[in-house]
Amino acid sequence: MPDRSSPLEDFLPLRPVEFDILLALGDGERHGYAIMQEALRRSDGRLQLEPGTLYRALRRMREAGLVTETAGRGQEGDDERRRYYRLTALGRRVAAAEAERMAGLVLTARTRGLLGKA
Amino acid sequence: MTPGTIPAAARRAYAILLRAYPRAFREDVGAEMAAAFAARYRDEAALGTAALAALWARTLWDTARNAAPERLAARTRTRHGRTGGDMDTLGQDIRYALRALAQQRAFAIVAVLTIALGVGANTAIFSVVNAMLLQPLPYPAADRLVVLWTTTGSGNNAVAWPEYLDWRAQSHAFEEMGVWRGQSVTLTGADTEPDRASGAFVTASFFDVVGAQARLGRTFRPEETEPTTTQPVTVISHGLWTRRFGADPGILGRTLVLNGQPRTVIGVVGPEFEGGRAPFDGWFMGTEVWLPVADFPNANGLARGQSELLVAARLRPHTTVAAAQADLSLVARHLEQAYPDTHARRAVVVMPLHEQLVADVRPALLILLGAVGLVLLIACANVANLLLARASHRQRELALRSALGAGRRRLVAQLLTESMVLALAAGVLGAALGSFALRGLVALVPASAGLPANLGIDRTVLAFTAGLSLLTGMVFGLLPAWQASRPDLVAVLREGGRSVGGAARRRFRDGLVVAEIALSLVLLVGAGLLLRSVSALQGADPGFRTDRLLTMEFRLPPARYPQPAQMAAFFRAILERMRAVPGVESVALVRAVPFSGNGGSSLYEIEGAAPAPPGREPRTQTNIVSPGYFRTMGIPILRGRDVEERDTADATPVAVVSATFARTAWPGQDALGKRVRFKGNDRWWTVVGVAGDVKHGSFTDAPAPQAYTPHEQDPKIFACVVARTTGDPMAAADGIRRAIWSVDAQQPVWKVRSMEALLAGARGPARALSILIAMFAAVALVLAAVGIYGVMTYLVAQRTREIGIRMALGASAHTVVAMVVGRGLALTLAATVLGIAGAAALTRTLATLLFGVGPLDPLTFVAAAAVLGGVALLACWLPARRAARVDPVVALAEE
Repeated sequence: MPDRSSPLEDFLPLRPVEFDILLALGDGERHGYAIMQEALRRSDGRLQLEPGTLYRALRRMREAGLVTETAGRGQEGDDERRRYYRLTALGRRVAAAEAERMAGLVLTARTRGLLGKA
Repeated sequence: MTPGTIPAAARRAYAILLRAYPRAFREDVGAEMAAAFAARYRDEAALGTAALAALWARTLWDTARNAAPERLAARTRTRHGRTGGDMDTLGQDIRYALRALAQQRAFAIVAVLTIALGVGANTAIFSVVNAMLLQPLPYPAADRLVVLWTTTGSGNNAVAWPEYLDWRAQSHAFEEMGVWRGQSVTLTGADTEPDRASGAFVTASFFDVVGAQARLGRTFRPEETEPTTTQPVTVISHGLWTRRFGADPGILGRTLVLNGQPRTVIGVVGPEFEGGRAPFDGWFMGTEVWLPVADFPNANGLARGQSELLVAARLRPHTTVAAAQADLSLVARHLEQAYPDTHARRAVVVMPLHEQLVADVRPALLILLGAVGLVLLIACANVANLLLARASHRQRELALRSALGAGRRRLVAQLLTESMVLALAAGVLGAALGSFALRGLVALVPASAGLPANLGIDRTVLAFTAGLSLLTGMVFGLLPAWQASRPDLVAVLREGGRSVGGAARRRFRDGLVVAEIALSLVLLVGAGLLLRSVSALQGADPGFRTDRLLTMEFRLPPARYPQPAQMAAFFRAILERMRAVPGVESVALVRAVPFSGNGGSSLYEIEGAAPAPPGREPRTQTNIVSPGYFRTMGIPILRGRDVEERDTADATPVAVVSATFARTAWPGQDALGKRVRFKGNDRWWTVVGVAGDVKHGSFTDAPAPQAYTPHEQDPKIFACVVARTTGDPMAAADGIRRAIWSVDAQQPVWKVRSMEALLAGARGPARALSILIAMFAAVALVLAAVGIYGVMTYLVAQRTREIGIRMALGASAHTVVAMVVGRGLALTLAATVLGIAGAAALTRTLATLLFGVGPLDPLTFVAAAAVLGGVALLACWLPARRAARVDPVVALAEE
């Protein structure tokens, strides 16, 4: 677990959509639609992020310094308006702290017999 | 992924939705959201209209859910900084709108009720559409599931086992292919009563296709379902496991006696195969026991040319249906060359599983959705008209605000806010009305139409209703707001506040009334056609007597009746016992009762005729009957005789054919004594009788050749009892069941139903559809009448002074009435012309649902126009009468 006094605690718990965005950006920068697709792929089609929800969260997270916009790698045929997002160092630490918090919850659930024995 | 790849209308619609967000937000990420939406739109458009509708519903919900909090957040931000953000204005507008509406309560109530009626109807119908057309199948990546059919031109046919093996080996587009064939199974055993279970005969690969996992134990291994190595094992459903075995975890390894054969339970599949998920029921959903395909009781079912099996397949990722179709068609062409006898002209059809499952309900549901859409449009036109009338009265107020510096944009925003407040109130009321209407709908629609059990207002429906209400507010609010926001300041202020109706505005209001009358005429015609169709259906002759007829089904377990002679003996014995049951006038056995959903067909060959080329052989419906079938059913024997006791296994094989069969096979000749042979059976059958044609599948069936052979000469394990009773058919059911059990206590019977119940099932959906459309048409008619009444009343009020002058100059009351009514009739006439043209274009979509009446039936068109004309006349006459009572002195004194 991270240090109790860490300012990371201020961010936790993350909203599900925020955690999903951090996860989607975990392995590199993506633009908004790619984040939607990644969330869809990772959840076997169950998690469909809608544009309004996604971009509100992205704006919030940008203001909080969890993600930042990059110059973008305009590929051939890419839409010029497309902006790419990547994790900041803080965002990466917050994602890790959230994952640990969840792991703790899962462990508790398991010891209370709410989950099958591992 | 450029937004240019989606229709401009969709892009614009999304741009409008984006305006719900605060400006700063829009400027920051609006363009990106539009791009993301465009990409989604393109993806969903590839999956069809239903997917697009779902996208719009989700998008509306997304906007509704995010825009409001974002505005609130923006407002909090601006409060600490500069004053006067979007939100402040919006709040002001809303407060102002509420005050304005409170002052004109009657107007507000009428407008809200009108829109709520339309929104409510849409909510109810959309709930059904949502539950039946938009619900995904409960399997992983279900959009890649397809059904594979064969076809020789008309209709889809099942698949033969060797054909399936060839497809599986030679095609490339599919990740996996599996076979299933549903058939009920008898379930007996020491600790269970004899019962019938819904069964499916499958290959091991079937479970891989649908991506189902065993909840307990495992599903089949490939060697367990292969014909050469098949094993006596079974997989049971979650439902059967919990209902019948109390969810006993020790079920694995237990023995069940299925179709008379002991089998070991090796697994329990998850609840994703449970029934009650209309419209998906009736295929493999609801299956209770799964058996290896090799044990399918029709022993010859696995030979080449015997199309008995259904094939499901999973497309490889990123493979389209069209690509799979091309791939499999290539395989089919190879097979056609290799086996010209059995595969000539045999093509393949790749059909998405979801599309297949909803195919039956889709046309009616889309028509209902269209109908309620029209009702809502009419309601919108009505409220727009009310708003216009109201705006005329508010011209002074608007002019004043304008003079005080309010820009046109500001006035439009204010008026639009009022519409939105009305629309939202109507939306809330509409959702409640919709939920109420849905309950009525469930009560009205017969079970045979297969409404899902879980029908209700869920989040998707609420999102739809919310979005629809907002859209409605825009539609009925925007134009009147635009019109009203450009008052001629000088004229209005000078006239001392009396309303001036510009010619343009009057034309616009006339146009709205014409539009709504025309739309309601379209609905009236549609309703008329469906009602005529239902009445034709009610009077339709199925070719047999339908009263006091009881039917039930059973299937002999092949393990206990392995020899045809044993089956024949069983049939003889139960017939004898059933005849003795009190209340039974006459009784017979038949393989497939008309309208029961069962039925068979076969290719046939006529003795002495030149053999038809492979793939072009004639086809006949086939049935197998006991002596006395035609007498029991009341099917007339036109020539020759019924099947009789003497037609035993040793006697000459005989057949009774239908009139259409006789006419098709031997045109201009006597059918009696002629011989016919059925594909897959070497015997020649001598025609001994010609019977009347019978509707077998549905009332809409075209007359088809039908051939009947005797049970004794062609015994099959599946049979139905038909009994003509002296009184209530269901009263005789118990006696007949006991008669069967007195011969074999282990034999379950099921689907004990009267013929009237079967026919009600066949007629039910059409009846429900026509009643619903008629209800919507009635609502439309009332709205249209209110609309024209409103316009005429307004006209009279506007012209009171003119009428007064005319009367002062000597015009009679009669002339005044004629003037007003004439004007109303001119509008109605224009609307009728438009409406008839619109109806003529639209009723074509009804064609497949009509019976005994054409989509352009003149009587219906004339009657609908007459009803509408009568109502319009009444709606005009009331204000005209008021005009005729105008007192010239009072009217002129008003000046």
